[in-house]
Amino acid sequence: MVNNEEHLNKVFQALADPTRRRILSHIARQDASVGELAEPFSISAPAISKHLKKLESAGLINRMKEGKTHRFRLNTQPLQNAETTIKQLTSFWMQRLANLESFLNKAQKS
Amino acid sequence: METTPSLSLLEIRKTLSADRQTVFNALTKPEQLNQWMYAMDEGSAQVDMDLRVGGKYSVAMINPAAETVATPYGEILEIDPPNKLSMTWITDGFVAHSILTFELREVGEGTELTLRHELPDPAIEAHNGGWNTCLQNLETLLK
Repeated sequence: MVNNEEHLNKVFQALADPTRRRILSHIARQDASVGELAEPFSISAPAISKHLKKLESAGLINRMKEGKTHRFRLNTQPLQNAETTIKQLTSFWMQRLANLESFLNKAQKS
Repeated sequence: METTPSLSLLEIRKTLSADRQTVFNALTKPEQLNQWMYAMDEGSAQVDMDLRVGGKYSVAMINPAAETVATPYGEILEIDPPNKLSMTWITDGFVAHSILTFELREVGEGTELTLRHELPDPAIEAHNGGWNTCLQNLETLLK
C-alpha cells in the first residue's frame, strides 16, 4: 500500500512538469526514440533523456530496446491510478463540504 | 503576493447559506473544524491549527473505534479573512506536496466557497489547462 502511494507521488511529480506532459502526449500518439523527441521539442537529447528517465521511473512509459535504439511506449496504468486518486480526493472533499453545510445550518438554528 | 502557478488536481464550488465570516470561522477555528472535518455521525476530527502564515496544522481523523485513520497536516501559506485561506496539504506517502486553497465570495445572503487542490510547479504557465485537460487529452489519444 505504502509502495503504491509512493509510486503515485512519483507519477504526480513526473506529470507536474509541462514539458514532460507534452513529451508524454507525443509518446501517447506514437512510440518514439530520444532522437525523434529531441527534434520537435527543440530540446537537447540529454535533456530529453532526463525527462524520459523521470517518466520511466514513474512507470508512465516503457523502454524497448531495438538494437542500439531505445524506443519509448506509453503505459496507461499509472494514469488510471492517478485518476482514481483524484476521484477519491474529490469525493473526500464533497463529503467534507456536505458536513460543513450541515454544521453551518445547525449552528444557525441554535 | 503572486501565488506560484500550479497544476490543478480538483476544484469544487459550493454555495453555503452563511456569511463569509461565519464560513471563515468554520474553516479556521479548531473547535468548529472538529465538528465537520470527519464523518459527522460516525467519527470525529481532532484539529490543531496555529493560524498564522507559516503556522502548522494537523487534522487527525478518528473513527468510531477511536482509531486515528489518517492525519493530514501542513503549513498555512496565506490568510486573508474572510476571503481566502491557503495551506500545504500533506498525507504521508500520498499526494505529498499539494496545496489546498479555500476562497470565499459573497453571493446574496450566502457565500460561494471554492476549494482547490493543486500541485505546485513554478514551471507551469498560469493559463495552463491543468490536470484534467492533460488526462482527457491522453485518454482521447488512446481511443
